[in-house]
Amino acid sequence: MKIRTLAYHFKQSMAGFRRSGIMAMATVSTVAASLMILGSFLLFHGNLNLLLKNLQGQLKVHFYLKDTSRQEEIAGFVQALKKEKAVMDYNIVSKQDAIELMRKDLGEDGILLNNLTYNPLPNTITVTLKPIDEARGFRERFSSHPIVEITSSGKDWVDKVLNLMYLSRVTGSVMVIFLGLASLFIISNTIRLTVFARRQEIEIMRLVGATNWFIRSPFLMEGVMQGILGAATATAFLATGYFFLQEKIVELFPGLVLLSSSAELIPLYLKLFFLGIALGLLGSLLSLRRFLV
Amino acid sequence: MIQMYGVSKAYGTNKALDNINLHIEKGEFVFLVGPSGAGKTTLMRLIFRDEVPSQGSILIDGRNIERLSSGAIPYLRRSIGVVFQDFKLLTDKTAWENVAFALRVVEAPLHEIERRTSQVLEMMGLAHKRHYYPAELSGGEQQRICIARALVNDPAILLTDEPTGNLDPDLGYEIMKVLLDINSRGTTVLVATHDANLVNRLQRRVLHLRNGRIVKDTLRGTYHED
Repeated sequence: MKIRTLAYHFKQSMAGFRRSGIMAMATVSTVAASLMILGSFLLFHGNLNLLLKNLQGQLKVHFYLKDTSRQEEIAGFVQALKKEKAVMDYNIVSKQDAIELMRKDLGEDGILLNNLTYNPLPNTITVTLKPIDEARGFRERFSSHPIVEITSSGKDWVDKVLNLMYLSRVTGSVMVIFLGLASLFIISNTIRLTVFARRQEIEIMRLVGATNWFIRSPFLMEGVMQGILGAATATAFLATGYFFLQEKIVELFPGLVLLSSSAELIPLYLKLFFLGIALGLLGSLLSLRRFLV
Repeated sequence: MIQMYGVSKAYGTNKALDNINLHIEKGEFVFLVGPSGAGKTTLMRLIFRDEVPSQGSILIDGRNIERLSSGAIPYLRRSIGVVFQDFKLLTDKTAWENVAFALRVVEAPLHEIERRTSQVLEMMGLAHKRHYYPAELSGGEQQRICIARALVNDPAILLTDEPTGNLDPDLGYEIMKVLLDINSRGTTVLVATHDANLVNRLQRRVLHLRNGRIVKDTLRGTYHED
């Protein structure tokens, strides 16, 4: 397509935008609202991810094994561990090693251990977990194993964070799909109104030999423009809002590390922006497919 | 230029055209006459592929048009100018913009749009009204704008549906003279009309349609069948 044709279409789509007036504003607002909610989810999720990433290597579960457990039972347990996606690493400490370690830790007081008539320490397996979905409920699953006497883990709240993350992902996906569809619907509806307002012009275009793409272009541009405006509004609000909120949160929880560098945030905002454009394009294509064949 | 072989067109059970066989040579001037509902408009719409025949085939310049892909249709239409009874002018565009519109959609260069539009408006005697909106023009002027738009692409075929329908006899004759002038430059012209006086006066080829059939085809015909 030639530049002057593009310029012509651009002028046409601007006129269409003006003509749709309040409807176009409503569309832009809906797109902006949808993208803002989606963006909030992305930020929330990004921060949870960051939190978990910082826990990498710190998620440990200790399994204290029954003294009655036999060697092949332990081997079977280890085999089962190896099959777990969330297991990053595991370490087996035998009763003997455990008491030696303890002796070393106690230093001079290690002599106290000589009074023991038997070794009270259990065989221990320490598992390091990856902070991923599959780590949810890991401890519960394995603690019921017959050779396990008792389990402990350093950070019990990790399971809660993982659960929260899972929940936010599920609700986020549902919301995104729902809001995405709503945006598509309203964009395609607005474009439909413009098509309707220009139906006579379209008819004449057809009759004098305009190609289908020539006819469609201004409508596609109009849809994309609504997407861009919606995305720009959403990004501006979200970026400003997050900037202040993040400062407040860090003030409240000084140790917390949140997404803050532009290298982390810009890709997220760009994602939103392109999603807006895609919504605009898809929305207008949808209405054109139905009304301009 | 235009060939039809066994062409029929039905809308539901209503047959608008029935077994039409027709040859129109390049550069011919043909009147299409007959009572309302005889199929004149349908015949024209088939030629610029606004409709497809239910049966039979249509060749324009040797090309079978009912098999054209949707992407090729615009290019067929660029070689056919159409003038409608109801003008179909854009009310929010000036006379000049209405005519230029036909060039704009085929992505003609700007200087070409400027040159051709001015030239055609001049030819229609409307150069001085280029900035007027359709509502500010008389029926005859609007009709001529519509003809100008159909001509600006320099089509090989010009189809006009009742071009004098809304005009007084003098203006009607003026329009007809314009069409004859265009025809003399080599454009094939097809005119659907109810205007008996003009048909009788011009003594051109006349196709009589009745109930969707060609009932008479005379080289120097008159409006009435007998």
